[in-house]
Amino acid sequence: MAPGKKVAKKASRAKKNAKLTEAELAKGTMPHADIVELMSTGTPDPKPPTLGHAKAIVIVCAAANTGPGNLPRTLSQLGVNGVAFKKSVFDGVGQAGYFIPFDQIPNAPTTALITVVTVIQNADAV
Amino acid sequence: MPMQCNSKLRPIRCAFALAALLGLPLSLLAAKPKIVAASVDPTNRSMLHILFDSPRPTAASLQDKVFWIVYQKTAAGSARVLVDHVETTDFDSTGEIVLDMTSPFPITDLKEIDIILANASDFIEIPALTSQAELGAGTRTDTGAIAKSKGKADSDVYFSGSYTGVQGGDPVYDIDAFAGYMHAIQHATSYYGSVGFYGQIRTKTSAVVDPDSFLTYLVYQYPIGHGWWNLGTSDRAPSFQKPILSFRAVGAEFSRTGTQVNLISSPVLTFPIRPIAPPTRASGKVDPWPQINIGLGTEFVYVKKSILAPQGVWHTRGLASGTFATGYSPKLKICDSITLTSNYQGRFTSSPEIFYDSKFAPIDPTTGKPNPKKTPPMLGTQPRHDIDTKLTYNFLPFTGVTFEHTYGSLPPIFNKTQNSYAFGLTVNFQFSEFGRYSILRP
Repeated sequence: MAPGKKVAKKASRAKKNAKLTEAELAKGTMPHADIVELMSTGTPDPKPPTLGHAKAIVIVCAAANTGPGNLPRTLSQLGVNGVAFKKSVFDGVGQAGYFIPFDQIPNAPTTALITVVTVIQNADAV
Repeated sequence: MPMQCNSKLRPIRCAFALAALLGLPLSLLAAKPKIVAASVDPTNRSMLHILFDSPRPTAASLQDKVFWIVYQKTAAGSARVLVDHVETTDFDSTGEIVLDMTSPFPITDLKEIDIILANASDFIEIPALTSQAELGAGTRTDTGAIAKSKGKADSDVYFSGSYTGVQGGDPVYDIDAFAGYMHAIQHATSYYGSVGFYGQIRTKTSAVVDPDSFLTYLVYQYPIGHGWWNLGTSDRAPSFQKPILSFRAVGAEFSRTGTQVNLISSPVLTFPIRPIAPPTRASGKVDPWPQINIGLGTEFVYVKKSILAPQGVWHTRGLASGTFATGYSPKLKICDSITLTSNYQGRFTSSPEIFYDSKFAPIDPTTGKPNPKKTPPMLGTQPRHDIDTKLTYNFLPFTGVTFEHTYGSLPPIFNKTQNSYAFGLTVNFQFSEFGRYSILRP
C-alpha cells in the first residue's frame, strides 16, 4: 500500500476513535447545581418588606378583570361588584406573601383602581 | 398654472389661520392633562408614580425633568426635592410615569408632598399627598371612617324622607331609608367573613293601604370561589364574579303600627354578572357600567304577630332577586347624564301570608265608591313581587327629571296590586354670593 494511503487510513481510524464514549461523557459532565452556583451572586434577593407598586397593579387588575389602562376608572365605571372585588384583592395580597387588614381595602363604587393600588402597595410582608 | 385650493382642506386651513390670528398656540386648544393619582413607591422611596387619565398628553411633554417641581414637607419645614430623570416606559400602556428623584423621601418624618407640572403648555398642581398610603408609609387613607357618598347607590347610610302634618287630617309622609355596617373577621392572613347589621325602612301614605316595611337583621357575608368566570374567550365576553353568600341570621320584618311582626332567618347567594366587559381603556362616560346582580335564597319566617295569619308557626319563602344598573354621562350641554336602575324581589311563600288587594275594598256608604284605605286583609300563597325602576335624566349637572315606576311592596304587609308612576324634578345649586340670605330670613 502506498505511504499516503496508510496515513489517510490511520487518520480516518483516529477520527472515528475520537468520539467519546458514554462513560467518558458522564465523567466529564459538570453537575447542574455547580453550574447554577457559578452563576449565582451569592445571597438570594430578599423579599421586599412591602408589596410594591408593580405587584399591586397586577393584583388589582386581576381582581377587576381588566387591564392597567383602566387604572383611573372606578369600580362602578367597570361594572365590578365591590364585595367580591375586595375578597379577590385580599386573596391576591395573601398569595403574594403579604398582609393587609381586610377592612382597609377600599371597595366603594366610586373607588378608583389606582386608589386600591396606592393602598395595597404598602402591605407588609408576612 | 395657478394652484387650485382643495375645498376639503379649506375649513382646516381656516381654523389654523384663526388660531394664528388669535395668537394662541395650538397646544392650548387641546384638553388639559388630568392627573388622577400620585404616590411614593414604598419599595423604592426615590420613585414617585404619577397616573394620567384620558386624554393623555404626549410623553415628550412630560419626560423633561425640568417640567417637574416637587416639594416635601417634614417637621423641619418644606424643601424642594430635585428630579433626576423621568421614566415614561409604561406610559403608553398604563398612563403612568415615574419620577426618579435625586434623594429618597424620608419614611418617618414625611408629612406632605406637593407636585407641580409646568411645561411649555400646561401648569398643573396636584392636590397635596398627605395620606399614609400616598406617602408610602402605611395603608391608611385620608378618608377616615365616614366619608360623603355621591348618591343612594354607593351609600352605606341613606335617608330620604318628608313629613307633613295636616291640621284636622292625617299626616302625609314618605320615608325611604337604610343603614348598614360590616366588619371583617380576620386573623393575620386568614379571612373568615364579615358580620354586621342592616336596617331598611320604606313607608309612605298612599291612596291604598300604607305599604309599610321595616326590615332589620344581623348579617354574615362571605364571597366564595376564586376570580372571575368568563363566558367565552372574547375580550368583551360576559363574565361572572365570585358569588357572595349572605346569611341574614337574625332578622325581623314589622309594620309601622306593629300589627304584623315576622322573625326572619335567610341565606341568600348573590351572583354579580357583567354582561359585557369594558374596553381596555374605558372613557368613564358609561357610569355605572352595566351590571346585573342575581340573588337566590330562602327565607325562614316565624310569624310572631299577625292580625290574620296563624301565629307562632314557621314557614318558608323562596326568594329571587335581581338588580340592574347602567348610565351614561356625556357631559354635554343638554345632557349631563342618564341613569337607569331597576330592582326586583320576588317571594314565593309556602304557607298563606297576609296581603291586601284593593279590588276587594268595601264601598264607602257616604261616597258610594270603594274605599281602598279600608281594604280588608286576606290570606294567600300568591307570589309577592316588588319592582322599582327609576330613570334619571340630568340635562344639567344640577337639574334633572326622574321617572319612577313601582309595583308591589316589601314584607311584611304586601299590596297585591299596585302600579305607581312618579315624575320628579330636582334642582339644586347655589349662588356664589349670599343670594338667599340677602332676600330671605335664614
